[in-house]
Amino acid sequence: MSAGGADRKLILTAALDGPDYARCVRQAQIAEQAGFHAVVAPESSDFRLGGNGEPEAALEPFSLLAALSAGTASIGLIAEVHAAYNEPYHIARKLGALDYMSRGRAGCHIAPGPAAAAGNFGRTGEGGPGPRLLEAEAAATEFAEALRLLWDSWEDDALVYDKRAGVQMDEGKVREIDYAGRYYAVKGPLNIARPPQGQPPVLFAVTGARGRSAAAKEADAAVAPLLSTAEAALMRADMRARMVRNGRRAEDLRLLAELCPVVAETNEEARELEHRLRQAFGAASERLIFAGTAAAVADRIEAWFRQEAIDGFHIAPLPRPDLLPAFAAKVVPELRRRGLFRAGGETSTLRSGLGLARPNNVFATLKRRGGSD
Amino acid sequence: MNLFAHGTGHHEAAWRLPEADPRQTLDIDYYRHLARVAERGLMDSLFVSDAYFGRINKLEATTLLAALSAATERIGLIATVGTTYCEPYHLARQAATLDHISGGRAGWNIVTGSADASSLNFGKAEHPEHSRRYRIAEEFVDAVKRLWDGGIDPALSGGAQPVDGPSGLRPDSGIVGEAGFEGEYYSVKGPFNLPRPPQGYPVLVQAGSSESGRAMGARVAEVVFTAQQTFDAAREFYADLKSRLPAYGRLPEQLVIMPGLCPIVADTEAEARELEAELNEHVNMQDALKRLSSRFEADLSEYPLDGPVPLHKAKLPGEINALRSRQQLLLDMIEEESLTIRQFVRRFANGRGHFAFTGTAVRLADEMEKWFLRGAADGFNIMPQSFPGGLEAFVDKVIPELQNRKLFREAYEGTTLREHLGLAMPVPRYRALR
Ligand SMILES: Cc1cc2nc3c(=O)[nH]c(=O)nc-3n(C[C@H](O)[C@H](O)[C@H](O)COP(=O)(O)O)c2cc1C
Repeated sequence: MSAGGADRKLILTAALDGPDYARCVRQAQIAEQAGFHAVVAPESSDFRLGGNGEPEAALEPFSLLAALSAGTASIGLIAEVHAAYNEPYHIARKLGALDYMSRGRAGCHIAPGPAAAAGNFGRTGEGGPGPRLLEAEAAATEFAEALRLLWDSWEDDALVYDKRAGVQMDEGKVREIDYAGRYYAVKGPLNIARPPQGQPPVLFAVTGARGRSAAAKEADAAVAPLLSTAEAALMRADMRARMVRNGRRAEDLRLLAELCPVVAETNEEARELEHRLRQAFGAASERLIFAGTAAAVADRIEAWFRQEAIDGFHIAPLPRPDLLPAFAAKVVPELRRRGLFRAGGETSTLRSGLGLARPNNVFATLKRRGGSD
Repeated sequence: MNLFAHGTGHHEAAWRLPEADPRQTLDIDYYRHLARVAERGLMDSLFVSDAYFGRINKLEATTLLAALSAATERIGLIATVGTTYCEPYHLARQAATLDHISGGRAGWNIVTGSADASSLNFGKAEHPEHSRRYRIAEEFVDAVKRLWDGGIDPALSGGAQPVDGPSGLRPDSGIVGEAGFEGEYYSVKGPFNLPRPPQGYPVLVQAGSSESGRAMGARVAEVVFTAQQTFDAAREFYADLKSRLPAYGRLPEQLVIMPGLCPIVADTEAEARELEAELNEHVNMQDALKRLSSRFEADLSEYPLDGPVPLHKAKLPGEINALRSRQQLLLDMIEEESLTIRQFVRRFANGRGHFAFTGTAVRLADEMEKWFLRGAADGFNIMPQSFPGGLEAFVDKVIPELQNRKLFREAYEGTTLREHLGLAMPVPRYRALR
């Protein structure tokens, strides 16, 4: 699968939500059966009430996704990580474990984390919230960089398990990384071998210019709140330019638009629903909503996709439990009929599903080039 | 009865057996099989250790057990999470999530972490000294309990109603705002953001055996794992730990003590010895000496293998920052048994200092019965020499023998780990207050 060309196919991901495990299992199964590329488990680092006065909280994402890995076979499992409140060493290990247990389906979505949660992690008082929050995008960039180096601290063939000689690993292929950034420091090596995907994909949410700059440096995929195709085209052009400036190939980043699909039997019904949702969301949070019959929603998706600014959509948590099943049952088959979406049931790694190559190990590459070891 | 799942087995050479496939230790199907065998044996729980350093290759504990929760129905799942480099808010969420998705089968092994090298993986210059680590750990646990107590309580209805007050929430609204832990090492504002775990708290497990370790165990632990070499030492430890409970207003039955047991079991004595000898043949002497030398102020490989262990070169327990109680145990063992270096390496190879037994199921059941009935153990932490063979032998030969003697259950009676272990649900502070 390539990013461009005639066989270009949509990428679809969906958020899991809520503290109810059974509900998350159903959502993951619906998404997997529909052929989605991944589900994204949100993190919550503090207590907050949702619009309906109910607590808005999610189960701890890695535990949730590990449990889901047992009941699913092909869907990607992406965990949200709040960089300000975490350490790369812990997260690299968890992603490594999830990647092994799911046979290459793990990924992470790195977000700065809400400033309101600082008090839950001792980041109040004298020291204030600290640089990881104040310079959130730069910190997230470092976080992702440290993750990649930790995964690469083991070469793919470091484990030899030579029973006769009694040697388990080639010590020369397991390295300290001595990472010392402005926000994170980690010596390494990691205590799990390099994951099946080499480096599980890293997603960033992009909003402002600083978010774009961070994503252009480190992200394999970016999720953006886009409201029009014109805005999407500008974002894509900007991202391409930034990536090239960073020495990356422009096609090595998947751009996903955040979407709230509202499918109903008739366009009137859908628009009525859309109106109510917009009121509930409030004017402050404008969102991309495609409302209509399955065909009408598919039309809008097709129009956005054909313009080639974006590679697919991320379906954010939906305000009603019936919206995701309706989208999966009605819109997805329509997209498939139009040749826009993959057949479903493909088992592959998350990376290859996203059309991304398995990255070389940076240390092994250096060594081959005769660089310092 | 707890299963300690660990690599290819608890004998350090298990991976070299012809039937072993060490690559499987990253494969969930391998652990799923072990968990199912343990569940067939009606064991209370499955435990995995963890660490934040080293050139080792293992799956992170909470993620692994969450995956296993989906593949098992009854067995408890005890994950190790350290208190020196993690956050109470994260741990509270991880353990609560495991408790929710497993329907009340979660446990947390509270460890302070033994390796100085860990600090460098978290940008910290040094690993805190032994007793300070335990002070940090006690604070960590207090903060976590505060969070769980403040979880959304399904037993209290009424929906969430924000009100004025430090937490902004009313205690009778179904969400209890309290948390507000402020300590020397950790401060956690709260409130917690998940429903209260089904077990109230996941079962609190601890394995410290030094003075600070025992003090903390007596105050907070509901299960204690320990390494003991002999029946007498185990009985002394058992009596000491239980005698500390009244000081914290606790009863003896509120703490379950499980010494480690490394069984090599076969139908005849001779067969069991053969299994043991085969494993000992495979010990890589050089590596083993290198590892053990760190406990001495000398390189053991410079001494004759069949000569005595140079005890005068050993570091005293108080001189090391890691596993102090284990150092004492090793020194006692070397002295009492006048071990040569080769014998010492082999004794250590199966179970790293835990009680090792080689023989028939009947003889092992005799030994376990003695420990259980005569005040040395409430249960055992089973550490088979090799997986899955050693575990299958234990479940198929030893468990039935214990059942015949009415020492072990015939079926699971409860569904939660607390029920398996006979531990009561903790009463949240706010309910106790009302
Ligand atoms: C069965 C058992 C399992 C243990 N698992 C771990 C572990 O996973 N991680 C860890 O850092 N320490 C682990 N320990 C070490 C203990 O937490 C403790 O540090 C050790 O028993 C020495 O006691 P002390 O710290 O009081 O000297 C374990 C100990 C035992 C007996």
